[in-house]
Amino acid sequence: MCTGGDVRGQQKASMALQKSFPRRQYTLWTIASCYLLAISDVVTPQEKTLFSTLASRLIPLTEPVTTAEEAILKARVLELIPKPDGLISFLYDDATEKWNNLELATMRLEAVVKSERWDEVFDTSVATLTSENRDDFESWKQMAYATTKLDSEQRTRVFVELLEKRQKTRNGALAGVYYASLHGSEETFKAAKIYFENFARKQCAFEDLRPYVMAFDAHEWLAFVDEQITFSMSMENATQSEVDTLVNARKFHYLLAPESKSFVDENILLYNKLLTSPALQGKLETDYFYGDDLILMAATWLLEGRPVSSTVSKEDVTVAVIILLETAASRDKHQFHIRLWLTRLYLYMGCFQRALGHYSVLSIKNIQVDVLSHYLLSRVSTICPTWKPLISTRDIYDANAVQTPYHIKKVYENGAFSQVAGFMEFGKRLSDSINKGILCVEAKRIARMLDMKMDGLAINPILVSTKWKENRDFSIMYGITRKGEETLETKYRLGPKQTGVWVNAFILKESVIDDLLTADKRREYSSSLKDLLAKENLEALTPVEKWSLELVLQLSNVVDSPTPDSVTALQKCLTEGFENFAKQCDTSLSWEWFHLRFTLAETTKVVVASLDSLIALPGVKKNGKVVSSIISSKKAFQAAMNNLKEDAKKLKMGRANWTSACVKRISELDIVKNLDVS
Amino acid sequence: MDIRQATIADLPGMQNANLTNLPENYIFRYYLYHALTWPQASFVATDASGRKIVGYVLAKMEEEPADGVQHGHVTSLSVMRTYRRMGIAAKLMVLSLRGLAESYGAKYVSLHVRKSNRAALHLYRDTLQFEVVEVEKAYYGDGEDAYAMKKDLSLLEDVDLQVEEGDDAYLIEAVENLKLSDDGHIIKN
Repeated sequence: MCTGGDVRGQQKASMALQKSFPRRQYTLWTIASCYLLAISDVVTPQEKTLFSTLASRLIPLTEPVTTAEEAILKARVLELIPKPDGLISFLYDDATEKWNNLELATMRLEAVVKSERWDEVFDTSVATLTSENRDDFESWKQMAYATTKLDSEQRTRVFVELLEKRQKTRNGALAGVYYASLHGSEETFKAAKIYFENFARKQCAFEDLRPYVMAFDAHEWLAFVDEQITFSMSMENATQSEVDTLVNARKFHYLLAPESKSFVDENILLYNKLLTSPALQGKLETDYFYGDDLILMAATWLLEGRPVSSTVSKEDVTVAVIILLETAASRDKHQFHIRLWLTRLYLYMGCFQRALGHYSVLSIKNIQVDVLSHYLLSRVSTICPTWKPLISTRDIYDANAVQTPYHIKKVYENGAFSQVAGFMEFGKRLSDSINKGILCVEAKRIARMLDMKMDGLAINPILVSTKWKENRDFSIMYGITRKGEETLETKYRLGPKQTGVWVNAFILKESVIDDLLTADKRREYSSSLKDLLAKENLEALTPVEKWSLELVLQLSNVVDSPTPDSVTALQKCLTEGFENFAKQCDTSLSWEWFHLRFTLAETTKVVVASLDSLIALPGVKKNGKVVSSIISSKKAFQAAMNNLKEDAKKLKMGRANWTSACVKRISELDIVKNLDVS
Repeated sequence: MDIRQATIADLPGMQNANLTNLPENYIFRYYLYHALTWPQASFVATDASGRKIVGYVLAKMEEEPADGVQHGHVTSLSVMRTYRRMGIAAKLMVLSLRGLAESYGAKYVSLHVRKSNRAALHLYRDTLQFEVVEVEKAYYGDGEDAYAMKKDLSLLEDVDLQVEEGDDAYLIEAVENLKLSDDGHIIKN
């Protein structure tokens, strides 16, 4: 049951064990599995109540609690009961507090906050921060909120005294800002100033204050942060702290003064001056230089199209930004944000191999493949169909399929009840990952394009019923975006975000192709694909992808009813696709150029191979008119492909001229001229 | 900054915090093993919003101690660059050491640290009172030597006091100014 992720089965099995062999361990397993069912989405609301009640009734059979893990399990079950008194009473009991367990302490605070018992919130937080000596920001925050809610002079005095005592700790100072924000923007401004005076030299200072500064007077705040920038010797000899203060100040400028034409020039100048500083020269190779953020800000400013002192044409922005980032990357190997942006920008220009070079430096492996590999591999089959980057991507999913179920069994055996829900959810998330679905489809398409064997790449059509899980991280790319604005990551994404609809559409396409000559399956998959195209939101598909799917449906029609007319209709659809898409995007330096043409090529390949198989069928072979139509269509498709290849060749031959013209233009740009590339 | 017990759901966030911080990235099942076998020993630190993981510590008990004494081992410690120099690493370590001692009865804790990692060496030796036991030649995959370090867990109270006292300003200044002698001792300017 653990291996299959069957929570109902786990519950039934553990109940059977508990009844047959009334051991304490089996009772705990029953409680844990009832809890899992109560929080799962495979049961009805009535069943949730049933299982949570069952779990709570079994708890007395296991008392007294003998480990912190059992205490956590009991607390989790009590959490499910509508009235919180039982939970709160248990969490505050001396027998529970003796475990000195952080998870229980967190639940304690959460429980009283949820019940809005502000006196207890206040007292618990004070105890955490003082007698327990745990500098926990959540406790600070809740204490601040409770102080406001209680509105008592005595409590306020205690809180303010604690704030003053702990002003020089980051959590304490930030709590001061949060508390002030509950009382008005003037108070918040004062508190933020105190925070920045103490912590301007911490790299997290900008992120800490960012939620609050949009309400400030921008000029006043920027004047203040600029005053904090000091250099004991000179900028060229700036220490780490001095660099950090400078960069934090510049980030506030980025956020609050988006019309400043001189921002990019200033940042480049500052970066140049810091190149000799000990902060860069003396750092460890695996560390990174915060001054790089000056270049990153200049880069994102340009990408956002913000004002600059000397104009950079739209055509040249991407190349100019790449030059800035490559310069910084050459000095700082492990600069993650720069590498990720370079990966994206090179891909945006259709330069896959350059992107791959930077992506490889990031050394993304293990679970990161599920979360981050989309930065390289989104639509890879139609940008640069290459097998090597895909080789190891399946490892994490294969490992999950074996390791996670094994470890879920171990969770029960070891009594690590605080982990059981997490393990189940984790295994499911990886198993149903959208990224996994995308990579399965891409692997098949690449193998087709490269004429590789497709053994082991078959995709089970049943996967279209998967509730795909979104694990990809789209927020990790560097950018300082205001709330409500479109992120740069979205703006420079390679086409619309691939969703579960995309995965299902292409799984069905592959299923139609694989079973084209098996009538019942072909019809079933074609019908499902048709339904999907008619009913689902198709925003995840590019226009050429939609066309490709529709063409496969046309192909299915031809196989269903092989007549000269159906073949002609197919030919017309394919020809229209070439006419529409083969002329788009004249420049070769764009991901779209490759995407359009590789999609056309892949689709044509599918059609030609399928027609070859069709023509060999006895029923079709005998029909001279159909055979003749098919042969004529194949010639037209071949001619279209040859034209495509000729156009690509011409473009490739013209690349040298394009490059030298580009280099000439870019070298004249002030931002490039001002950059120290020595 | 919040610190809480690590769960398996934190794994993607932990690895993002790690990225190229540490050349060592263990195999998948090793992370699962830590989470389920020693859940009280591993912790994560999150940012003020509570959503983003900015640091973590993974620790375990030695299953078959060579010296016959129950002891723990710190497998991995990492803090995201933007959140460094604020005492997060020290706080994660203190919680982990406490967990190993109180939940699993560890008598001491061991760890390895790269000879070149000055900041980590300062944290372990000066803040947390670990002692260098020996230098293990070519311990790491890339051939770098490691200091094998150890801390007696009966001495936790004094570490707690040091971490609590005021800001970690002394940590920053010490790290900025420290140099190492040939045998790995810190020479202060």
